[in-house]
Amino acid sequence: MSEITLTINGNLVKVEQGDTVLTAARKAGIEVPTLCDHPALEPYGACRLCIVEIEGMRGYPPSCTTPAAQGMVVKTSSPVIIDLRKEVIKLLLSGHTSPCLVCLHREPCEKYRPRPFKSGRATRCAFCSNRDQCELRKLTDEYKIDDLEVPIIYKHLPVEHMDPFMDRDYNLCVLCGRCARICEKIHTAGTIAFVERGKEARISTAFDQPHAKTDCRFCGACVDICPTGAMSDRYAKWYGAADRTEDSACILCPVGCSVRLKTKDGKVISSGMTAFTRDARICAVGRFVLPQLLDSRYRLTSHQIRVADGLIKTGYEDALDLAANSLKAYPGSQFAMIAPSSATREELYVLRKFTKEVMKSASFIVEPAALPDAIAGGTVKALYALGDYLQGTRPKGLDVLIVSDMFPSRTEKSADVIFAVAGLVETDGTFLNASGQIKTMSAQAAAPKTLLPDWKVVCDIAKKMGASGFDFRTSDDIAKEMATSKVKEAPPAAPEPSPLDKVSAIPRMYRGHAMSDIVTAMRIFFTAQEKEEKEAAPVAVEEGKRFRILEKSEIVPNTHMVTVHAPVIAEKCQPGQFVIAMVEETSERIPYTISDFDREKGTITMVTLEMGRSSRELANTTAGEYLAHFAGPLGRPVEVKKFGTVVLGGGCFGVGAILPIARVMKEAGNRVICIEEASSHYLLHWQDKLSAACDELVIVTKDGSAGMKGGIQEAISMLADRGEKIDQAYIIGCTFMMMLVCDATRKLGIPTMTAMNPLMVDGTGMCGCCRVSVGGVTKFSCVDGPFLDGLQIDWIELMQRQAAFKLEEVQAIPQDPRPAHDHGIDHVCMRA
Amino acid sequence: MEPKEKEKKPKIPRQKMPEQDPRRRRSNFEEVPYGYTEELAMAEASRCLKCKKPLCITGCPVNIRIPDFIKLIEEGKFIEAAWKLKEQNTLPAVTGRVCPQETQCEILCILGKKGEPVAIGRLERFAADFERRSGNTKLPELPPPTGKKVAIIGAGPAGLTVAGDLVMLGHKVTIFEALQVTGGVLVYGIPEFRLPKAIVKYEVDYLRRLGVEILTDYVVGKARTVEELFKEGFDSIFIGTGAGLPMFMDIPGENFVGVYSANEYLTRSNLMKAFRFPEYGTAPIRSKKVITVGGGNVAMDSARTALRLGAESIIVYRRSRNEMPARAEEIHHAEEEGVKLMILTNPVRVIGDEQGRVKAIECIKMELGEPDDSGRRRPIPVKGSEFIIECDTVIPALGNRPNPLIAMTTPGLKTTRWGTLEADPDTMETSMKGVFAGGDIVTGAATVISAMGAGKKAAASMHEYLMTGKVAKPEKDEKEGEKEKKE
Repeated sequence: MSEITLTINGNLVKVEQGDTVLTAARKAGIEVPTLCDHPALEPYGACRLCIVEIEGMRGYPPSCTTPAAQGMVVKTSSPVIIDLRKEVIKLLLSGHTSPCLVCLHREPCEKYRPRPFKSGRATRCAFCSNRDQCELRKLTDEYKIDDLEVPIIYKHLPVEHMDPFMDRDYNLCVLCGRCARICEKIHTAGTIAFVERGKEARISTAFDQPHAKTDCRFCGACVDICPTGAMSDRYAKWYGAADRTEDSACILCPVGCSVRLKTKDGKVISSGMTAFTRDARICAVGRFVLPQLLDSRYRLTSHQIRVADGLIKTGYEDALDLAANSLKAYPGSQFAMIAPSSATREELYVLRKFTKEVMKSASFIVEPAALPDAIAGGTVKALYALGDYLQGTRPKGLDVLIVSDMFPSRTEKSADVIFAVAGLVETDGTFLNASGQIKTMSAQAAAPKTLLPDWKVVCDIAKKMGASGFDFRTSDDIAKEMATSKVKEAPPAAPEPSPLDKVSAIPRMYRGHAMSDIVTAMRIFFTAQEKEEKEAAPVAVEEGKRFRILEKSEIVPNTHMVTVHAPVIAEKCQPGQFVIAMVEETSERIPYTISDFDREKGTITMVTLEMGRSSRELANTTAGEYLAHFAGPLGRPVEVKKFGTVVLGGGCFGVGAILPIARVMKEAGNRVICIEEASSHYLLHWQDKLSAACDELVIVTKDGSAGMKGGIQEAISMLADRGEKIDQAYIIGCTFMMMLVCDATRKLGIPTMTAMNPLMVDGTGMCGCCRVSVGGVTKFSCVDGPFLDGLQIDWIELMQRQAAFKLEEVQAIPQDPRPAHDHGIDHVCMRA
Repeated sequence: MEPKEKEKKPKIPRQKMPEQDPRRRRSNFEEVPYGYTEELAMAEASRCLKCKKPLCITGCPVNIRIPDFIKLIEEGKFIEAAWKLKEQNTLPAVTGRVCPQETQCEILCILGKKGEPVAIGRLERFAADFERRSGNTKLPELPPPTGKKVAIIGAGPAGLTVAGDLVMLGHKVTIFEALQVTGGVLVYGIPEFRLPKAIVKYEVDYLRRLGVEILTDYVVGKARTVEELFKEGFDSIFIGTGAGLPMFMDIPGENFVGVYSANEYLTRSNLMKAFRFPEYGTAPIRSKKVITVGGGNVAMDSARTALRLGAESIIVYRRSRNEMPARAEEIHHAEEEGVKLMILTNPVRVIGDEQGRVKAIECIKMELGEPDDSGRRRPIPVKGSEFIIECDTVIPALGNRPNPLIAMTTPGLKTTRWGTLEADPDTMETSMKGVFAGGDIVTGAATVISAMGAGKKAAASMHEYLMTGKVAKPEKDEKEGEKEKKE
């Protein structure tokens, strides 16, 4: 290779022949922004962000695909290049849901709302799980872009929730092609690629099939390489960015792949490839199932011992004592141990040593396919089972059964002592894989830190039994002893076909448990057909169910309208009141503001944004189904009288809610000005309904793509500036928005009532969950509200109270795929 | 055993009811007592002297024929015993569990004078459970329909009792319930380990089978007013909406995240089944250390629920143990499971962190002074004795005020200054013609059985009203059920 020299931004740079200008710049320590470029991928030249000026060359070539040449003179950040890059970024943003990036209230928004909302569709950054890691966002900030000259084109593509483990929303896709290219690189024949052309171009599978119906191996590389939130890991996405990264190994099958663990607050939130190469690829279990196994709600967390009544939770010492005392009486062939194959070498060494030296038994069995005769037949009197290997029945003649596991099992029910243990990547040590490699594991990720690994428990039992030679403090101590002993180790047989090549070949069992019982999203790989038939069954009309959904649509992205038949409520409800809905018997009781009602038809209409489990349940309903429960009307109606000029401000779900108030305020002789706030033009809805109900409709958008740029507070200031005397304001929307509006109306001296949306349980005044401080007095939003005096509300306290269950809200989100039926979005924002 | 004389001493001691090991039950929601076996029940029943003038009955707010049903148990006629109970009591499996028998029927038992009284509550529970498990529920023959329609507002213990009595008299009964399930405090307040919800459901289903119509998710006071129900053709209305408004301590820091009313704490767990999260959507309150404030049954329920949800659980009570209004058995069960009691201690403020979450509670030591209006010695703060307990959850369990929904929307109804409805103590008739009320909405927070007693009285008056158009005051004879004192 010959060396060449070129000049970049006035610096002489020496590079190899064949290097690109981009590589040269990077070698010189000069930052050139990129998006489609990725160290694991070949240069692509799609995003045009890396354009440079090269003397003597026409135009502005992308540095990533331009070979460096001897004597080249390159400028990477001349004013013309900076301007052009800004244009490139703006064009990229026009194909991305980015109104938040140019919002006037971005700074307080991110301060008061540190985590994005758990939406079904990311209609903007505040609703995008990838907000804090988004590369596009970083570029926007770097280039200080505060205005979008090219309006955002929302593509209205259906969001793909139908596959296990990943969500795909190509409305966020900037067509960098990283996903398709990495897929091809790793699997040779890629699952995803560009389809269609020109402005219709998008990423998809052949014939737009769900991934589970293609040869996708669910390695997750596409998710991990995506620079935006277009592809996301359903489980990890709402936990936010990891605070620690560590390499370990997945030992769930003999392949024993290296994995890179990402943890947050001590919890493993994701496990991925250690490099974007074919050699480093992992299977669906290593990528997606592993973290969910560790964090499973079924996880055993305490040791138990049997008393006359049944099992009781107990401390570690008590469990050890009972185990040690019980085992003493059964040395030799009366004892057997069953160990999992998913264990470290050190662990297996200690378990074997215990069986042989302490129990003097030869019955050390690893991952039995069938129960050995000695156990089933009654020769064995004391059994130590490290998993669910007994198929639910305690063999006759067994006097002592000690179980050690991570999950509750059928075996456990008849056990005398149960140890809850750490396992898999929570333990350190080494693993001998099928290729004969010794993989090193790190236990730094250990989630429930109070739990010990099996080898430690067994050492402690051995010590209680008076045995020596079990004083290992770390797995390194064990490894040292292993090095001096003559342990014979043979690599396990490689699974055929490899789970790396075929998703149906992924490991299914761990410690005798079917992993799909714990991580149910896996089931689709094994029972796809069966499941489909079940889903195709018509929805049965249930007797005695009263609350039928007559209409259901996604009026604008992530904003759902549901009309329910509830004549008793419709007859009595007044503007400003709310209803409590439970979609299923297992649902929360959730308050929804009444957005419209029809006394004649007996219907109540709600508009809601999907932003968590309960609103998702409602968003996932379809017309013809029934809500499990629906009660109301609750709360106090708005005070209707002649104020003079009334301003009604609604944002997000609040847009619908101001409609009935506008009607009655108008009827009462007020001049009614409605302000509809949306982040961008594609989220505006019901303008026609609002226009018909009020004297003036003011539209405000955060990106300025329709109406004036800004929020309700800017619109009110504008009205005040032009001389409107506003006598009363009613504001409905998110807490943050109402707080900002009240800051403005307080200065303008406008009495402002705001609709509370705190956490609630019963909604009828019984629990006090919804309490809000108003002028130092505690009010219950459900019976004193929902409208309370916004100028006197303690907004910070309210927001803190709303965040009370933020971790549970993430955990509550179901991980199973959602059926692919597309509810359809009305592409025309206005509805008749 | 054929006792001839009342003085004859029992040959056998009061039979204990087998219970779940406290070490085990402190981490599950299964019911604490297992109930009597047939043998234990017959043995216990044999202790009853079958007094000619049974005092026990006078202590029962619903006048159960106590010696009669006990005799049937003694004879091994368990189902018949259950039917006997049901003549007076529509919810025997419930009352057998949650009634404070020790202050009502059992305190009057002759045997109690020198030894231990007959375990009337345990026998009631046994008979009711036996019938339920046998599946041999007898549906009594109903009289011909009277053509009268009755609306009952609130499906709690009072309302269910009225419904049971009136449907048995041939009236058409409709219950309106605001929540998604029936049972009122039996389902949102009393925990599973004290009253399994399947039992409430069974007893409510029995009413359904008798022909009672139940509309859940129906908020009277909002969806319909009392007057509108009359217009819709109901002839008489019973209001049993209970005391559902929680009281807070009125000390600084009460709105920090981590302060939950006992109602919220229990409702999440009992009604919304948060202990089965995330299968159920309602989030559980996960705490490391819970301070429950109060000394009543609700405080015990909250503190014991906290233990079961995995927390260290402490009850803070401002008077001494003797003044605790909770049933002795509940206090005993709580302590046995590991709840710690801090008596003569009163919170003065809740301390929070920068995120507005509870991190501690400051309390002050108390001493007892002269008796107050309730007859209990008044607690007085000990100057300078303030101290801080670190905790992440505080549960004020200080009682509840009546639910105001109905009174707010029914101008014709008179209320007291405590927000309770005015009702004649004998007939339960309110200030509004044809409208009756009973339970906590009249008395303020009290017990399940006193609500059922009021329901009994109301049902009798309502029947009279429906058939004659008026209600005559009955002769004064009954002793009022002991009320749980409000803390």
